[in-house]
Amino acid sequence: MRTVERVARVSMALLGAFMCAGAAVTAEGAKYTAGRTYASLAKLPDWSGLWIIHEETFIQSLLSDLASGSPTAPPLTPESAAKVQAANLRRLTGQDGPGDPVRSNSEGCLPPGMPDVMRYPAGLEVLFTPGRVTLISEEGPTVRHIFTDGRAHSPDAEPTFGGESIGHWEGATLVVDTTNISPRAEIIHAVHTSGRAHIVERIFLKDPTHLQIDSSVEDPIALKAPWKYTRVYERIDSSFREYVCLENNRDPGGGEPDLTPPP
Amino acid sequence: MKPVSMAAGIACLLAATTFALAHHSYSMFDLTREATVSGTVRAVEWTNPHVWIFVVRQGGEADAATYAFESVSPGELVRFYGWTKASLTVGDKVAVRYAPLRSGKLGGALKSITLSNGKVLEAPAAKIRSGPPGSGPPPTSSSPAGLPPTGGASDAHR
Repeated sequence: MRTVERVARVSMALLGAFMCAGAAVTAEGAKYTAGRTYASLAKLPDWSGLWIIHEETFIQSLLSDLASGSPTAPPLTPESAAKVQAANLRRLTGQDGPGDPVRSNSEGCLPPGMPDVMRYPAGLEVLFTPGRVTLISEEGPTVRHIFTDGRAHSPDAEPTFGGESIGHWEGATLVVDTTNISPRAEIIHAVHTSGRAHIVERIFLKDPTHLQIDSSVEDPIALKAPWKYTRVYERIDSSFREYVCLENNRDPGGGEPDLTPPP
Repeated sequence: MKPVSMAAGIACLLAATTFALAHHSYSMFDLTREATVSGTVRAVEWTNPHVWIFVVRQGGEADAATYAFESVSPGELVRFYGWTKASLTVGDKVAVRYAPLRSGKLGGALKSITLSNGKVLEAPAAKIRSGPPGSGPPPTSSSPAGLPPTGGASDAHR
């Protein structure tokens, strides 16, 4: 119910902002027409190149998030916290804890999905085309289409790992509202969303070489309060790399890997 | 709060987070131990999700003396550890540091490879100090080749 209301509010706000922008639209043409020209892209900030969370930053952020009492720690429900403990135990000892075995998506070469994919130390590319911002992450790989053409969330969208993202620009900041996330997507390693997660991201250039994403994640089952965190991506001199997890997955079961030398 | 348990806790956290880089659990490796072997590179699989390196132990022959070493993805090795696809070639003489497989089979999680010219190629597992405090190998260089040095705070965790 709350999600529906929120979606409705966001939709109205988007529609209102769009109408106030003075674009030449009729009531019938109000959908899907904002910023649909290539000329409209010229005023957008320069987010070209490849962005990455440096490995050291990634590890430090994780350590900070995991520290007891950390203000950036995810406010996990007890059930979610138990899954994290079980996953960490298994990572360190190879032993499953009590209860159902906990597996993370990556063990089976599944994409992490939203929101976890946005915290990986993998390359991220941002493409601007009229009415849309596209985020492509090497992790997964994952393609996120963020519609900035004034449309609202679909009432009947199919849940996906990346979710359905509707965005709008507030100056040089892209504000992204994501829903319709698959219950197989992970909030953090080994903790899945409920299928009712709602994420708001504010994406902006912190400085010419750093892209900051402030995120707020809500999930009525996995989290007991909104999880707010920041990640900073660095612009690096690198190209988007292919990542096909099934290329040579010698550990499909997570047990003893296949140690056979190649011919 | 006992210093020992706190140190163990930090080690566990570091191990868990370091191997968040890996796409699967590293539990098949005993990260509390370190072993070394010298030999000749037999094969390099420069593949996703993980790079695998096969080394024939010095004085050994074929499969019976072949060690299998797992690392992380090519992208991570290139961007964060200064590797290239050409860093290792079949036939190279190498000395390998690794966390051994729990099963006792030959191989483990790659920590570092020293080439015959003295160049050292590091991998994420090098960050995990093995054994009780003081018994591990000396700390290795903290800034991977080709990358800007990282902050002191991160070095404290190495």
